[in-house]
Amino acid sequence: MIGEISHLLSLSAVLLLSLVLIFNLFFSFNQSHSNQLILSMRLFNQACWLVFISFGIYIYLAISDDFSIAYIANHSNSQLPIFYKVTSIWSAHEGSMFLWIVFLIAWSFLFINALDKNHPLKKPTLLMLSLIILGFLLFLLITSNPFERILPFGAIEGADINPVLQDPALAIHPPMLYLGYVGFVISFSFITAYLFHGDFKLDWEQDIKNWSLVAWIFLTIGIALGSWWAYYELGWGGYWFWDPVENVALMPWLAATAFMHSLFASSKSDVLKTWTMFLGILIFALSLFGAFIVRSGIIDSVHSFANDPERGLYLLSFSGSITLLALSVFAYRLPSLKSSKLVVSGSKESFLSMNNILMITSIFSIFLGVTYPLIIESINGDKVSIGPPYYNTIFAPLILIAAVFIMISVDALWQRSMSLRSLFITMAIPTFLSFVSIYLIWAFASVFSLLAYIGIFSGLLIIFSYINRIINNFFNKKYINKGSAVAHLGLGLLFFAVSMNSIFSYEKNLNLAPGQSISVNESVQEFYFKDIRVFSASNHDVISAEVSLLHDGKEISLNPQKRKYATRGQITSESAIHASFLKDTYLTIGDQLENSSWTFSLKINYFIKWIWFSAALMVLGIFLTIFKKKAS
Amino acid sequence: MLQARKNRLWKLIIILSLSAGGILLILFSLNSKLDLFYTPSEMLEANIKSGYRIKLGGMVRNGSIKREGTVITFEVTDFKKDVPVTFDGVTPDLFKEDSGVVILGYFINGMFEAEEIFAKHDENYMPPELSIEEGKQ
Amino acid sequence: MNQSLRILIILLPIFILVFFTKILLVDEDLKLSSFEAKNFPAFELDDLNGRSVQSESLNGIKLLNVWASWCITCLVEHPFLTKLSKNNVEIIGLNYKDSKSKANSWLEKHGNPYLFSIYDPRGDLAFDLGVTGAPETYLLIDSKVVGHIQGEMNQQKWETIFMPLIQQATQKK
Repeated sequence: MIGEISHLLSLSAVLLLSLVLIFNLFFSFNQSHSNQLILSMRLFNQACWLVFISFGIYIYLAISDDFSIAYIANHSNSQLPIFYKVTSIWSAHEGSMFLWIVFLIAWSFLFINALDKNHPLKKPTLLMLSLIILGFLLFLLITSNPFERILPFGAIEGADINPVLQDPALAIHPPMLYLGYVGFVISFSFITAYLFHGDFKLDWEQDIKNWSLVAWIFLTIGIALGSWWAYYELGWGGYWFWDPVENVALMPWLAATAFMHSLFASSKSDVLKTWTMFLGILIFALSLFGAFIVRSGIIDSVHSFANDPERGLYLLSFSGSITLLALSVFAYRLPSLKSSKLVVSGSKESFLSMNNILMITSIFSIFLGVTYPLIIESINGDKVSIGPPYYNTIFAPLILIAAVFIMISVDALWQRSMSLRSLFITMAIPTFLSFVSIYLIWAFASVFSLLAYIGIFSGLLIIFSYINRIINNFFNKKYINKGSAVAHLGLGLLFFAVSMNSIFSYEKNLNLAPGQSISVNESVQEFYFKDIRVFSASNHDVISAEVSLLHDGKEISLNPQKRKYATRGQITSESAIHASFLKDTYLTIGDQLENSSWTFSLKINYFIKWIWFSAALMVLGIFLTIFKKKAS
Repeated sequence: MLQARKNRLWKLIIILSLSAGGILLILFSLNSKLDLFYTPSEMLEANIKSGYRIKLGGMVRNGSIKREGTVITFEVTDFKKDVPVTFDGVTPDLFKEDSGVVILGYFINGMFEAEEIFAKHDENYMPPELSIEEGKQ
Repeated sequence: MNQSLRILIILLPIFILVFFTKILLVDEDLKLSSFEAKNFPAFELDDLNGRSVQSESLNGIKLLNVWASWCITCLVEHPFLTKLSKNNVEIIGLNYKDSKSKANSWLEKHGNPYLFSIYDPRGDLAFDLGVTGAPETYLLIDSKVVGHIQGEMNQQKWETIFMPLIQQATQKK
């Protein structure tokens, strides 16, 4: 009964949104424009509230174990802690789509109500947002209804979610990611509205700048969380696999980065406006593309939702239509958008425009990597896969170029070209220091990988050039943009840490009986397998190994486990990780052999903490940028 | 005036050569670094040279798993042909007999030396090609 | 230059859309056959008459229906199962977490559509199969689980989910 109420609320929202569109597009009562807008806003806001309440009720249904709802029966269980009953809502397709839509509505609701009521773009933006929300609500209710019942009597108990998903990081990762993805519907809709409206003297950048910065933060956190979760949960010690699902999250992020940089140029200097508009549309288009890839079952990946092509077709046609609509308006207006100002070569704007090209190239390379297997399969039926070797090869030169750009362009001037002399001064010290460091690292590591060293070099270029700037700022009071400095330092640190990790990390496979102790190498001086214990926890049985290590003089205790979950009989292993400043000691337990000994996999991963820290720095940098704007 | 023209010409040349270089790099990487996917019969028929890294997909044949220390040997089958595989390390959680698996590695002297083993985080994983084959049984 | 750029901006997305649509439609045929075929788990159980069940009896095309005397929805699907069994569909029961006497009384009272029913009072076989409750129905082809329905069996589910799989299997033989 309560489930029906929730369902009805969402259906009513569909009705209201349809009214908004029909009312504005087909009928035009003899009302003043402002009255029509007021009425439309009322309908829209009510529709938003209906969906919020509907979702709130759905959460209640999940917490109260209503297993007559098929989705809740399939993905939750009465023994789950309340936190996971709630997070099980977005553990599979229908529920996560529901969450996606709720966030879409939340962003739209906040933005459209914050827009001044006399803003000329308010009505077209409202219509665009209504159209997008309506399409997704229909998609949800028609093809992926989370309200479907098991009739006539519900299941006695829920099926329980995959134990791998019973994890705090994995619970928060989708909400963060979705908040980022859908946040860019604002730039998408607003820019399309602007283009449609046709008054090109209007200033549009300021209205969406902070909204996009916040969305960018969520997207960064969402991707970082997913990477962190993969690292500690999957037991492979890896944090990024260039899996299609990861790649389709990275593409919007790159587009968003390009967009924000281009936005600064276009709002400061009135150039690159066309670029910025295109990028603003591209971000959300890529988000839609990502949703399609993940939910259509078209690409086989370790973490795609299992799905049917019918949903894929709907998503594809709807996303395609929305994107085509925006791009058509963009293409139509292109001639009128000519900027009167020319970009001065060697100026900051020129670097930003080259950066746009660099980002587009990166996005294109990833897109090609994701679709190439599909292309080959449709041509000659061969099954191929594109993996890290391809992406590492492509990205090494790209990040080197990015690093050089960052190093040079931050000192570049708006609308004036940089003198060769200042260019030389900016480049000389960081370049020199980076080469020296590479030499030292190579001597120490005695491992050579061209791609990794390019990565290290790129990271160092950025880091050294910013250290240089910070020193200049401290002693000579030379201006430094704090937000940008922190964010770029984060990026440089990321390049550095990822590349260093790939050179220095290693793995050892071991086989010991309980009570046995061996020396692995000079660094892991002692590995003592103390004991193996078996015990029971809330919804699973545990086999826990007690291991004590002497690693570089430090004594570490680790308890890798294997768990068997009661409801599904699924077995997972929980790796034990000791994270220190420079490296992570990462231990996974394998299988028991006939002689009662056990196998272990010991991975020493270097600079892992630095990777997470670099993500935090980037987020902090963007944060500072938002608040700096408000202060000035 | 002429100088400005010359500058633009240079810029154009630089951009075009960078683009050409970039496109070549991408194409080259795509073609040389892709992992081809084979079922056991396809792989044995294709006579793979040992230097190429490939993906082998199939079912872990019932009763074929043997462990010795940290090394595990088993056989991957598509119900037509079997391929012996050896792997040193800890296998993923869902790796077991009678279950779908994809392995990445090299086929050398009749033995597949696996570098990585993939088993999906879902009991229902089977490489699509294989289920079609199975259905034909 | 501008004109060709404008055309490109429109054509490129259209091209991408068409490409993916084509792939999706091709995929549709593949989807049906890529449901995992899991081997039926090994078991050592008797049927409701005390006779031990041989694994050979699961060969061929059979439905395995999880039921119990305490299960109300099982009563709802019962007429449909009876109809199927009269139309040459072979159904094996899996009596789940029940008592023998109550189960047999239930079959006497309502009719027995099953060739026989496996007696699984502790739910061991059910656990290995991944059963979460009653009723559930599995489609077995040559001792492999190729289909699964949760909740009550009815005409619609039979037609849309099981029949295509059965047709595929019989065609390939």
